[in-house]
Amino acid sequence: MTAEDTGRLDEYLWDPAGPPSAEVVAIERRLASARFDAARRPLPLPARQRSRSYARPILALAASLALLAAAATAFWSWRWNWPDGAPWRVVVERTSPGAAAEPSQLRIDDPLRLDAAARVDIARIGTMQVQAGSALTLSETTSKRHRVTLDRGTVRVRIWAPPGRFALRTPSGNIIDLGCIFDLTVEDDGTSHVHVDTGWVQMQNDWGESLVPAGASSLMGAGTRPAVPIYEDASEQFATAVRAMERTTDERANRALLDRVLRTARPRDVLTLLMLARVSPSALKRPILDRAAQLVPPPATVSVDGIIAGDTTQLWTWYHKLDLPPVKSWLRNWRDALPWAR
Amino acid sequence: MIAAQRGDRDAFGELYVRFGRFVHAILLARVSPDAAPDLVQEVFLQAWTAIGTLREPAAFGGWIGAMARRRAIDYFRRRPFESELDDRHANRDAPDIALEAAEAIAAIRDLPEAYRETLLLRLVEGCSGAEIGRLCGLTPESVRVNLHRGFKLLRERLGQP
Repeated sequence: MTAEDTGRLDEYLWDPAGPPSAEVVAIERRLASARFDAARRPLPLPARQRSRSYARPILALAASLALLAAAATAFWSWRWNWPDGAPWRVVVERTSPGAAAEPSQLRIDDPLRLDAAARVDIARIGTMQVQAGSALTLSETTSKRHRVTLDRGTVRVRIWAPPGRFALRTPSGNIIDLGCIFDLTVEDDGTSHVHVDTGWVQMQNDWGESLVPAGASSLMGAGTRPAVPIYEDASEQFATAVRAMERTTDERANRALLDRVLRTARPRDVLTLLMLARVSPSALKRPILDRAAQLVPPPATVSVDGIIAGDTTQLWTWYHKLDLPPVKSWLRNWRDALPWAR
Repeated sequence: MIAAQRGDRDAFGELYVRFGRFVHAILLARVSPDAAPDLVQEVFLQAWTAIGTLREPAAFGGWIGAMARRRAIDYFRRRPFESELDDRHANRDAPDIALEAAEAIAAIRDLPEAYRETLLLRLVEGCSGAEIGRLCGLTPESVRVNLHRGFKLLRERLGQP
């Protein structure tokens, strides 16, 4: 093979569009049947399956969720755990213009008399806005129970915790948080007034108990049974008459008040009527329950006669059919844990 | 390329046409000529499901080339009772590939590894030296050397003067 042939061969090997080299063309022809022809072998593409391109975001999402779950678990544990007897943080609002808010502590069995309003952290489960002039004492604080004695004054409590974890002791009885926001005022004579914004509050003393749902209020005097709950939007005539009935033992006076109660009651007030019937003398139970049945008919399994005969289960069956928030639903009130909650 | 990553079948079909010969040559350098076309399709089907993971579109050639080489290794792993020698001669009954082509391919596969893919791309698939350089990531000088030396050895193996 001459140098020219070799040069032509190398050039043709490099560029098959150039002048052909006989030696190379001979082998090309020999190999021609092995050439791949995409047109003769169309690619049977299946529907696109989930490819690894999705794997990365899915993995990232899973990792984020795991991280979030770990953070939530850590926060959850931190929120509930509280060293036994550890003091609570108190921030007293400034008493004069220009004065700074004054940090302090609420210690076990160390009474706190406030001349100015203050914010008290209830361990880590909530806060309590305390009005000036209030007197309170921290009597117990552990991871599972927080108890405060309020001798007088007004507090606004915001709690996000399981029922019963926080309670206030007052001269008239206990105010037990069932997971909610509420206001409590203790007067100088020891009477406690409760108004509930969200969730439920239980008022309880040696004479009885009363469950107060969101939107309702109640009161409890020293040495008397806790009053029945009355919705804030009930008519004043209704509310006044109910409270008067609870205080009066004179039967004739009670009948006159009852007439006003039954006349002014709305369907929403059936809660009050049922609780009033529960604590009223036998003679008054029937008209109260009959009126309640007119406003909100009881379930088929419940009868007024049955309740009057003493079957309290029927009364509670009716009660639970009313449009009330479930008592054990504190988790739903998670918004109460937010600083900007009402 | 980007359209193919988004699931455009036509765009992926163009990639198949453009890179099919390259993948075929890589496989021909390793498996029998009758098995290679089926494996080409398998490689592209695998690429279709995984193309979303390819970050750099310009790297498609190197990416699918590596995929083809791995597929050839898997091909022999899955056929543990057949030797490579058997595989080389398995094509003799294949209707599509002429005997003389199969013999020439077998001769190329006996050459040093550096020359095999380059020669197959040039002599079987008809690629130019410049194309081979781009597809295989080789400099033009390396391609020229591989073609020159590889072709010289091939002629000797085929008994051509």
